[in-house]
Amino acid sequence: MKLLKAQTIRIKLIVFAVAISAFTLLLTSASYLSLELYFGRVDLTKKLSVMGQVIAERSTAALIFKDTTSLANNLAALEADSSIEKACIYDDDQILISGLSMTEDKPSCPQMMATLVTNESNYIEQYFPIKLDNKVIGTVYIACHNKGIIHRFLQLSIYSSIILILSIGLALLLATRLQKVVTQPLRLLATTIRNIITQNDFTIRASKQHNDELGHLAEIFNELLSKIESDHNSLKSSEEKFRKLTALSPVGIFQVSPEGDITYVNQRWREINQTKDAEIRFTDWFANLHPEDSLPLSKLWDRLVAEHEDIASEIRLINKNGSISWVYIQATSLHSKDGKLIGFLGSLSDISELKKAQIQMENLAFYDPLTGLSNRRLFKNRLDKAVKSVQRSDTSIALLFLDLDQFKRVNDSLGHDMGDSLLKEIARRLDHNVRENDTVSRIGGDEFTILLTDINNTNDVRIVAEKILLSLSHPFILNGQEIISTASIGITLTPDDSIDSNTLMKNADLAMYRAKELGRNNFQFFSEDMNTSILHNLEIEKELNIAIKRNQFVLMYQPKISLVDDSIAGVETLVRWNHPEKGIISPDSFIPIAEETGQIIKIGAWVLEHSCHEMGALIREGLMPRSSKVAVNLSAKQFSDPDLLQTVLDILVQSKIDPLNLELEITESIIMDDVEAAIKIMATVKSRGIHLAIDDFGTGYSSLAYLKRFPIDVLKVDRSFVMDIPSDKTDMAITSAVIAMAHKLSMRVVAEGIETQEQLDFLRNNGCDDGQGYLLSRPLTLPQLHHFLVNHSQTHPTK
Amino acid sequence: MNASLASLISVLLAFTASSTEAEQYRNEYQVKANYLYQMAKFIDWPELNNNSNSSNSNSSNKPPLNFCVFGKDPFRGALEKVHLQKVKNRVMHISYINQEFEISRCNILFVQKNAPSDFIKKRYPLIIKNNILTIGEDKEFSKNGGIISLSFNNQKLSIEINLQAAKDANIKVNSNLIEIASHIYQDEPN
Repeated sequence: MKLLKAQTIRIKLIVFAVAISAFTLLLTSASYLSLELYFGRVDLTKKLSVMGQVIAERSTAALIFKDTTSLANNLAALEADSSIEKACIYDDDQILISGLSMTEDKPSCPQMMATLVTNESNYIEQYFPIKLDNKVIGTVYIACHNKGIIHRFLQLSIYSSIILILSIGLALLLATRLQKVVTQPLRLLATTIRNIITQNDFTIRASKQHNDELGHLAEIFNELLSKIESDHNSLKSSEEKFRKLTALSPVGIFQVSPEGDITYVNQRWREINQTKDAEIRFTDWFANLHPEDSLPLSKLWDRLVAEHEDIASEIRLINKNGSISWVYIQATSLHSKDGKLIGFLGSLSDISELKKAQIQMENLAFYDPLTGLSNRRLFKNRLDKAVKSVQRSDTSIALLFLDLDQFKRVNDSLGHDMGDSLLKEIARRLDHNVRENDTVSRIGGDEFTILLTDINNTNDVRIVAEKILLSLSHPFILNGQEIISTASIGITLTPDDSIDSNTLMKNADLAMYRAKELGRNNFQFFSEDMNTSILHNLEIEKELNIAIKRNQFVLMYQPKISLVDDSIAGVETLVRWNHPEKGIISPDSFIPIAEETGQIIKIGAWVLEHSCHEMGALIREGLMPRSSKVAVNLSAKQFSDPDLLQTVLDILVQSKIDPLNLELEITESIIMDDVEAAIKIMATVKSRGIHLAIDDFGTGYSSLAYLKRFPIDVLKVDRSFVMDIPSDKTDMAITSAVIAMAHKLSMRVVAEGIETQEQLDFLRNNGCDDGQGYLLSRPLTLPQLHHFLVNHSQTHPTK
Repeated sequence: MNASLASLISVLLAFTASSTEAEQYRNEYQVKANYLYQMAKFIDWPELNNNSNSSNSNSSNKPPLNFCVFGKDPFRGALEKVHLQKVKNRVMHISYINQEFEISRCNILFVQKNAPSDFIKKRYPLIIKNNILTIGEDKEFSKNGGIISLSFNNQKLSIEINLQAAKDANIKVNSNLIEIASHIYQDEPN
């Protein structure tokens, strides 16, 4: 079969024609011969059957009456048929009565029927019963040889064979002649195609010779040629367009064959590469690239070749003069319709200018324009990278979080320009004190971070931190002015504290706040207890929420006594937290947290409301003088709450007390955070007739220049000054000066924390208006206050 | 003892000799009896035809085939074997007659050797009227108007048939039987 497949159509046609005719004839002859054989036997059997029956029928009487002559006569009739071999008649005892044998050499009928040899292959033999009155009285046996049939069969076979051979010869002759009808036009067609290929001329057409399928084939072939011709033309023009387009293109274009040879580059490609002739192999061109780029690009190229993954990459090209230009290379694979790779097409654009602009943009995005240090984003980036890389080494990194102390004051007092100059100078000093590998960043207004890598122990970090603090301790000379600026530093280290950059930032921040708490101008290493205190604060925050809902707060009142006439000047409300499990909690333990979380707004409102309510009741009962005041402390959050005034006014209306009976106490530091805004708020409150007091006066940094601008009614001298009376002469001097100054500014003065008679005497002698302290009265519950007021009115009857 | 044994042997031998002769006779009649019985199978009687045509050939309904032996019985009982055997579904009845009037109910009438040669001729009308198959032992029997003569000539069976007589009695003789007949009488009127 394989051999046949390899043959030409000519041979195939001949083979098929001959094979089919031979097969057909063979089949016909075979079936004819076997039918002949079959019917020959059938005929013989029929003939035998007829003869046998006749003899059996005729032989009844002869057999009964043992008339052997008659029987022999009956059998003798068979002699006429040459095919009869022998015939025998047996009686009902199966004993031979009469026999006829045609051949001398063959044994004739045996005496006993049972010994007859039957089923000889070349015999056809039959037994016929001889019946009389429905009883078998004997048997006729006739054997007949089939020589005649065999002979006839052999004769026919020979004739058939001769006819077969003749037919095959005839088929061969005809097939040889006829195959030309098919193969001739095909050959012509093949010649035409070969001509088209060799001459590359698509205008040649095949000639149509017949009107049959082959003629139709030639027609279709010509149609195909027309299509190819037009496609070829449009392809040519499209190729022409492509060439022209690429020649004019501002982008370098290159084409690479599937084997990796550069097959085309446009003019712009040559310009970018500063070359006249492109390399032959595309991979050779990689030699022109920056060493850092050639390997990655080569990998990308391999993937394009292997997996047809498009390339888009920025790479550096080394020019002939050694300068570097940035180019953007894109490449993709080209496929034919059936998905076969036919090459690669790519572009090359010079993006040096773009890159330059991009770098500038990146600088803007990653660097602080004021100090030139990296900004928060870049810092975070570097921290992440450092954290990752340090996990693979034995060393650790340290994160220093640095916050300038009181920088706001510099800005406020000396102006923002000066502040900026200071930041620049600080940046310079910080940068100066770290190694080149370390990163100094400005991540916020006055917040800096320093990332130290390759740290072996905490001592390394300690030395750097000390160096920084020392360098900052030298005064800054800016515009001829000498400025002192210190900083607080929080330090955290990997991997002990954390290996997560976010946690590290948080840790360093916490440590920095601890440094601030510990008096600024120092550095603190992060420790786990900082986290613990955070957790503690969170716990309190949760409990405070419950406390607010369930009214777990109680108020205490500390009376203020007039030092002039011992009358009741008012009370200061103090809040306590009656914790269901922990008992009474002092405000120091929860007010700062509430302040931080904003819960203070609600707590403050509650305190204010209850204070006013109860004060109103006391005044109406006549236990408190009409002019007396209830003093309520305002926290920073409350003070800057835009709803403050409305809240206060609502409460005043509800509790039906005069604004004059309310005094709001504000600490000095609250005002100093934003002086101008504070003055505005105070003025508004004041305009409603509500009194304002400055708490803890003398502890902060309040400038006397501001003090005169504050619409303050009362100035409270801090207990730290009172405490040292009479031992500390300086404090005594300050106290008397404060009292005098307040009076000059038309403010009343209240002294807190009076515990001894000496203190009371000193203050009274120096003209302090009112006093407050354990000597006069402890903070009291409402019933205790009732009692106190009743007692007081009895011992000091109003004048 | 010896004398008595010798005498016994001689008696037995004598008996044997005489019995051989008797046996020969008996054999001949046994064969004849058999042949007579077989002969009936080659004969068609008109009644039989009518009968089988008209009724639904139930064997019990068919009348018996009466085989009459006229006069002395030469078979010495050999025919008893054939008695009640069936021929073409008719039961063969053997009867021995010696009265003229009995002839009319016979289907087959066997005539002995020693019967007078005009035995048939005398009763011819009666015989043909009753479709009686006449079979005789005498060689001249069919020549003398009997239908079939059955005789032995040198141990060889010889059958002669008078077809005219058969035709007169309206009896059909099977061609196979005719074929083995040694002589056929065709158209002798008497």
